[in-house]
Amino acid sequence: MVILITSDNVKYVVEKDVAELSVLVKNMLEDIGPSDEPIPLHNVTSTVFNKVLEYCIYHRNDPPPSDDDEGCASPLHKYLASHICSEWDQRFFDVDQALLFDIILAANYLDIKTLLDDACKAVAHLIQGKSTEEIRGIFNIVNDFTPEEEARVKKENVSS
Amino acid sequence: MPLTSFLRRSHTSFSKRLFSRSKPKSKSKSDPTPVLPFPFYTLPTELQLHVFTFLTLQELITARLVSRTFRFPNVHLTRPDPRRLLNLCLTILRVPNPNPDSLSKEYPHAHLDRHFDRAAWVHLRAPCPEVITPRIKVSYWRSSESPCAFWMASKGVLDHNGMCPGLPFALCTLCKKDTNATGGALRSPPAVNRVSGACLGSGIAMRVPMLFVWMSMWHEMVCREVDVRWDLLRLSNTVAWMMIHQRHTPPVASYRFLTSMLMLSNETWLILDSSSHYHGKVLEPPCGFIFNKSVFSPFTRGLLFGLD
Repeated sequence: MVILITSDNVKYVVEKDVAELSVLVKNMLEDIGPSDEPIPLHNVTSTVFNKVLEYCIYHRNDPPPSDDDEGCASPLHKYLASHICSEWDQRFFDVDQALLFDIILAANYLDIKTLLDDACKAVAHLIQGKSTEEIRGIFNIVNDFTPEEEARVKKENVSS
Repeated sequence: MPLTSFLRRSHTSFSKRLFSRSKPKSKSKSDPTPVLPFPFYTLPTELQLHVFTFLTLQELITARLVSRTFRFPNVHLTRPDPRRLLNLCLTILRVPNPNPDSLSKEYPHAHLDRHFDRAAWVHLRAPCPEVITPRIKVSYWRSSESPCAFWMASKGVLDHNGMCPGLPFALCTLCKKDTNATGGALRSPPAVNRVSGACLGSGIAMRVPMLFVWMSMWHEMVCREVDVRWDLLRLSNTVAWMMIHQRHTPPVASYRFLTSMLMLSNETWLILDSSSHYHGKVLEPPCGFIFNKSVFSPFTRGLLFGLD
C-alpha cells in the first residue's frame, strides 16, 4: 500500500498498482525505495484526487498505453478512439467544467496519460459538432474579430 | 445499427450532456453557485494543444472563427512548428489530390506512420562551422534539399503560397557518415526499399491527400587526405552537385573526392493527419514517384531492382 497526501492534507492509502498508474508516483516510489513515508501531492486537492482515484481504480487492469499505438493504428481506429468513450467514461467525465479542468491539470501533474487523454477528449467533445457561437458560449469567449477579419477567415474556410 | 449512426448518436448524446453543463441553468435561491464556463485559456499551452489534437481538421477550421486567439489555438501560444504544419494541412485541402495508382500502395503503407520530426530537420540544416580533420579516408553523405516551390515552378501544379516550411533555398547539408548520416539528428538517409513485382498492384486502393514540401538528393562521397572545412562545402544556390567540387577545390586543394555517387533522390510529402501532434506525417517516395502517377521512374526502378 502507498500513502498519498493531497494538498489539503487528506491522507489516502492506495494499493500500489493503482498508485503506480501515475508515473509521478511510480518514479517517487522508485526513488525513495521501500518506505512508509507518505508521498505528498502538492498540486492536487482531495476533491480532484477522489475523481482521479476513481478513474485509476476502474482502469487499473487496462493495458498500459504504448508509444507505438498511435503509429500503428489505422485511421478508422484512431477516429473511433477519439470519438468513442465507454459508458463508464462518459459518466465519469459528466462533471462540472471546473472539475473537468482540475482533472486535466491533475492528470498532467500526476502524469497519467490515459486520464489526460480521456479528459482532453471530453473537452474536445465540447467543441465537436458545435457552431462557432456555441463554442464561444462554452468557453465564454468574446468574438474579437473585426468584420473584415471575420469575413476573411470565413472566406478561407470556404475555400478550404 | 450502422456504424455511422452509432457514432453520431454516441457523439451527440455525450457532447449534449457535457454541453448542457456549460449553459447557465435556471437557479433557485438555494443554489446560488454560478455555472462557470470552461477556463480553457488558463490551461497550460501544451494541454490546450493536446485538446486540439482530438479534433478533426474540419473542426479546427470551424474553431478558427471563434476568436482571434482561438483562430489558431496552436499558433500564438507555442512553437511555430504546429502552426506551419497546420497551414500546410489547410493548404492540402486546397490542392487537388494526387491520384496514386496501384503502384503507390507500397510506399504509403510502408511509410505513412512516420511522424514528421521537424526539429530533426532544423537541426540537420544548421550550419556546421567546425573544421574537421578526417581520418585518412572518410565517407560522408551529402543531402541537397530544395523547397517545393523551386521544383514545382516548372510543373506549375503545386506551386502555392510559397509554402516552404522554413527551408532556405536549395542549400545542401553535409553529414558525416560516421554520425549515422544525420549530423546528430534523428533523421536517417532514405532507405532504398526493395519492391518486388509481386507486391506491386496488390492491396487496397487509397487516395492520399499530400503536399509536396521539399526534395532531397542524397549522395555518398568519399574523400581522403584533407582538412575539410565543412562550412565551405556548400552549394551556392543550385542543385548541380558536382559544383561543390569545382567551387571549393582551390581553397582546399589538398582534398580529393575519390567517389561521388548519387544514392537516391527523394521527395518529401506531408500527409494530412490531424490526429498527429504535428498534424502531419511524412512520406518520402523516390523522386518523381507521385508526379509519374506513382510509377517508379526508369532510373529509380533500375536502382531498386538493380539491388536485387
